Amino acid sequence: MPAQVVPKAPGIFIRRYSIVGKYTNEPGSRFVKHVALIRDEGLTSHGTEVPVWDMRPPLVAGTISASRTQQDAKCPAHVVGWLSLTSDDRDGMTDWLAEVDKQERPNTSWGLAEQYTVSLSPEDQWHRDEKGVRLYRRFSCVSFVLAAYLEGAGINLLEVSDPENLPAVRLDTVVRAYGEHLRRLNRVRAEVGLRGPEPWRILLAGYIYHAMDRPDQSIRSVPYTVPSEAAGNFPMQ
Amino acid sequence: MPYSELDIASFLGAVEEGREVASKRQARLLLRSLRLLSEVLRTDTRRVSAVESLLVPDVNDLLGLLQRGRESAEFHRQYLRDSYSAEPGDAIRDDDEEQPGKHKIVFRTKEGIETCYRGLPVVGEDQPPWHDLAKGQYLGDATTRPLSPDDQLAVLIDTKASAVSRVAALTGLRGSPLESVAVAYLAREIIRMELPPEWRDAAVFAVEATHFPPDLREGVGEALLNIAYALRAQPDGPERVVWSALRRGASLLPTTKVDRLLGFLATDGTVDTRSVALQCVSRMYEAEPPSAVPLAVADRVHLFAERFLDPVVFTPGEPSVIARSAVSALAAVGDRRLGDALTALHSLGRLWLVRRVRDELNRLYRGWIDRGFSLEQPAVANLGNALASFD
Repeated sequence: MPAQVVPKAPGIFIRRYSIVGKYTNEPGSRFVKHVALIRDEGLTSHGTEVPVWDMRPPLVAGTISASRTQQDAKCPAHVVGWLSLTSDDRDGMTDWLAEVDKQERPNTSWGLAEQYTVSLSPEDQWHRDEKGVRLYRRFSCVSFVLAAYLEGAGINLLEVSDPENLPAVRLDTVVRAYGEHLRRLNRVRAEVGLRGPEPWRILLAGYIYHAMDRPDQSIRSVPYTVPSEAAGNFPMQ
Repeated sequence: MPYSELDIASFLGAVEEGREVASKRQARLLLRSLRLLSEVLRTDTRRVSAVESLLVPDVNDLLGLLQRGRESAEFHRQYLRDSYSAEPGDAIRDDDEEQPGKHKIVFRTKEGIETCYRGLPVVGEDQPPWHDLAKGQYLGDATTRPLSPDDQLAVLIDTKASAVSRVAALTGLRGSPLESVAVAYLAREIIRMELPPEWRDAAVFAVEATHFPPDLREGVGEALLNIAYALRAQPDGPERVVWSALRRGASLLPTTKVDRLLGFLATDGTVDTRSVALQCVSRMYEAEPPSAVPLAVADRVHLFAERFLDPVVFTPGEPSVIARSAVSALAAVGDRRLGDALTALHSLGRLWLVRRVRDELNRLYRGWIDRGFSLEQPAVANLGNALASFD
């Protein structure tokens, strides 16, 4: 099974570019709050912080952005998803990360809105110049991982071609992912791409693990269609 | 209780418990006063009368000050814990109610004095400078006490204000009646040489996020490329500032100035600008294909394609980004050697590389067609023919 809760010690061996996830702090939570790409392969047990490439913000997509942000980006390993990546897949992802690594923006409050978005609109996923030409990318933690797989390895994990087909996500769920402050801060919600009243058609981190909880051949050939907002939990229970 | 009976050890304990510069500093000041008074009373009888005339602090005041210090410590510790960039310093808040908008906080840090403004999303209890969505933390309330556009403009042009405050003010002015004034000011600043490094870097990033009216674009673009060129030669050149300035500088220049990128296609300098510069060449022509091939740039780009698609040199990572960016740039400038480059690319046998280059070339081609350029336009036709090699 290529997606599972990371077991306690001695743990499991996780390969590079597997997708590691962190649960919320709620007792017994299975709601995935954050996802990231594993930087180095190794033995990992439940809750161990592992080095990752991710979009928190800040964007840490390679050694350059990692050194500039002075942060060793890490993520507690609560849940992990993987498939048997070929060397071709991994090379493509390495290339993708090297390119994105140069687009990291300052992570101040004004920089937040410049590079973080949960919006799936193509217009929001790139910042463009006056002529509509691309300058730098915007991600959420989920879209960062999805783009690394899709553009780097050519593997489309989730069916997002029409965001209207995604489950509607309520504010209560968004708050579990991002914190209580989003409940009262309309401006911050708009900054990260949550425009208008709830619910919103956005991606939850947990969806990725249901996409990966399938045979490799299915993962590579058919993007996963998210059935409901409850798939933000993994396992769904 | 007279000061002489105060338990100095308990002060020290409270300070250590706080483990915070703000409380330590307050307590040290108190202790210094107490020790001075104690010392004077014990050793200098000639000054006793003077000492008696000093205001001896009431113990409740002292404890109150310490409590405030501990609260301050709690407040600041949260920032220090959550932000790699936070560092302790001293602050004075100037609450001048007679001059709305002039409520400022003067910080003394190791870099010198900085002035920040209350109500902006960068400093103070209302707006911390750090978001961490992965942790679900946002340590303040963004809706409190926004400054008026006039006040924000005052902050933007205040050269003593911190760079983050000034950029936050600029952000706050977007969509306001003063936006064009702010954009013009930013353009003047970036064109002005000898900006302080912190403000220069922040202004470069701000320029990349700002749209400019046509009459300002070329001047700002030239200035950005000058900044990028100067910084890439510095021993510890700030890479992301250089790349941001290069991306934005190129995007603001007309395609007739594409030769300005030649300097960034060289290996000299401490910041490697080759892959970003190659992407800039492509993107300069995304909106409009060239009517004639810019030969100097095309020759350099072809050299990169040839060298980095060599099987001996090709490696996933920065070299592969250079290789595929060079192929895209060859297509964008309409160079006929694109076909040779694609032959070399196919011969590498890297499926991911073929897919990524094909996707990028398709995007460029579709963009030109969608913008209404003729299939017979030389660069469009050249790219159309090249794309056939992917079938």
